[in-house]
Amino acid sequence: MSLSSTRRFYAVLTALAVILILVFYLFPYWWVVVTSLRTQEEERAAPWVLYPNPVHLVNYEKIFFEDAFSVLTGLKNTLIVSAITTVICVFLGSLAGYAYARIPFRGRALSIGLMLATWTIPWLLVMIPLWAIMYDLQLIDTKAGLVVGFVSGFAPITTWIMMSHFRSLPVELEDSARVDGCSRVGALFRIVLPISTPAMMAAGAFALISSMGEFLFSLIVTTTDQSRTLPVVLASLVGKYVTEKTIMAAGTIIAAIFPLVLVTVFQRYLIAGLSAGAVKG
Amino acid sequence: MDLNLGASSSPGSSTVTVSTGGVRPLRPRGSVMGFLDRRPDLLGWLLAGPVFIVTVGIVIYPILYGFLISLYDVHMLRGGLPQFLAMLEGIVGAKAAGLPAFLGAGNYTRVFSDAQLQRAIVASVILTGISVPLDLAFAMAVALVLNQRFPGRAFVRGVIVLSWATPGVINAILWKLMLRSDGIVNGVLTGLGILQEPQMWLMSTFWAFFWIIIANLWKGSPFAALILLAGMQVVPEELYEAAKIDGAGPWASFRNVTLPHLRYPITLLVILGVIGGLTSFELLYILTGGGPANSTLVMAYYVFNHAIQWDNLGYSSALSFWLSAVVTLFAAVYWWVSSRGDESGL
Repeated sequence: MSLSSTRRFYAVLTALAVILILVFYLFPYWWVVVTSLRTQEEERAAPWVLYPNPVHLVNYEKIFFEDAFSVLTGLKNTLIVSAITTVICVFLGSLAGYAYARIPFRGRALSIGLMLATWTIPWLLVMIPLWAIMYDLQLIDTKAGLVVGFVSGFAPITTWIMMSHFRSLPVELEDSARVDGCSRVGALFRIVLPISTPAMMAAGAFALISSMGEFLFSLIVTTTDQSRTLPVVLASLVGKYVTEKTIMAAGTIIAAIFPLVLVTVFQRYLIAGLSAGAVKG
Repeated sequence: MDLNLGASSSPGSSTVTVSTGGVRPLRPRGSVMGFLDRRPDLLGWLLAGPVFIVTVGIVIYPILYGFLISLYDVHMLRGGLPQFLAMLEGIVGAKAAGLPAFLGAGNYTRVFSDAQLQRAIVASVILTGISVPLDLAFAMAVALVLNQRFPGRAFVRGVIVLSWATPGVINAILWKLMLRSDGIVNGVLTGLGILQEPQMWLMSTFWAFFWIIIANLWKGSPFAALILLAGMQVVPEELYEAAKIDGAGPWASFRNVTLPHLRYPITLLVILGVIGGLTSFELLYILTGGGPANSTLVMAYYVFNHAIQWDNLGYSSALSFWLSAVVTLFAAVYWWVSSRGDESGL
């Protein structure tokens, strides 16, 4: 085989592999999107089609205008809880991250260690007592209860991201501000935080994506539409054959769209953080 | 190295205070901010305290509480703190009214005679044992393809990132919808003539395991592929050139150049995969509900069922401590491996 034909052979092989990869990873979403764009009648008559013809938005209309199967209520709960969780996580995570990165206080190393250790604890271990705490605080079936649980679960990640970021900033930046008479907290808010927006966005994206997909804790703490999040609502519907498949599909796409858009927008930051940790160790 | 950054800026704070009478007009000594600047311990805890309390504070009490519950024959929980205190006193023999029977290590030893638990362990081991190597091999293939130069590479990478970012619940629901008797899996297979009539996939133990593993692969392999890809991209190009000059084919250069560089990421992925596999819950809960006939009732799901479905809170707590001990063991190995990776500069 000559060099160029070997090269062509590998090019064809790569192309075939790329097609297989794309089909495997995209097909589930493709088919569920297609299903969500058809009517229940079309779906009953011919469930197995690979593209919608014609496109119907009736399922999305039923969800957004009639709150079919409480999907819209679930979405609202998820958005409210996730947004509040994200703001709190990024704010507290920035403060703590700064302290961990820059201020040499007593007990710093120990508290970093303990905080990160909570990250590795399986939720199953604290599930029952956490429920009891929520019960004591009268937070069962409330959005506030979800926020408390989510913040305690996701704050370590945002703190870690912010701490790594602050460590990468040159110290001279703050020093010069402090020579000019700025206090440490003043330098944090006037100098350091304003130039840290990308890191805060990445940390926020992490918290937001994690909150929107959280399931086990939400499943245990929520009981009614007052607080049930979209993952819990969808999970309660999925096994029931009374649920129209096309609406189920539309609900799934609605639940998936926010994390997917976020991760696409922040891909560069997320992958950089991910690979840096795993490759270098 | 990094830790010194904080320490080196601390002399800076004293310089500022000392030079108060100097050229620049500084903040008056009496202000709150100036006061805090001279007390790093206080300032540090003020800033880091909130996160510390919501993470460590919210976790330590439940762990203690969970441990107490695991010592008793608890079937119902009404209110946390009073019962927590009553149980605490109960250990030393105080008998409060309505206190459940004290079992000591009873719940912990019960695991050795629990036949259903043994089936759960087998199910977990089968799933983890197949999923981890399969995900890794598949991810390696994907990473090798993405390491080639071809048009649209960034797009393909973006696509696999989407499945990684898909929440576990959504992954489970996507596959649940596809595996229905009127789902597309039956559609494709009957369309190709492989199946005569639609199957109820999740009603068969074998096929339930099969599709759980596929759904795991769909969500789990992109992460591994991205990590492996990042590892491949730091391999110096000269090594491949040298291998080529030595007459190595693609397979030989993969084995002798690429693979040794990926030893550390692969170790991490295996450990993370095992931890994830042993604690996986959502996918099973939604896809199979533990069925058919409890065959896919894995360990985490079994713990969950004892707590939520069967009201055996004491036994469930003991089980979760056993499970956590196993997971912690793997996490310890993880830290050990990653610190070794640091030292050897991998």
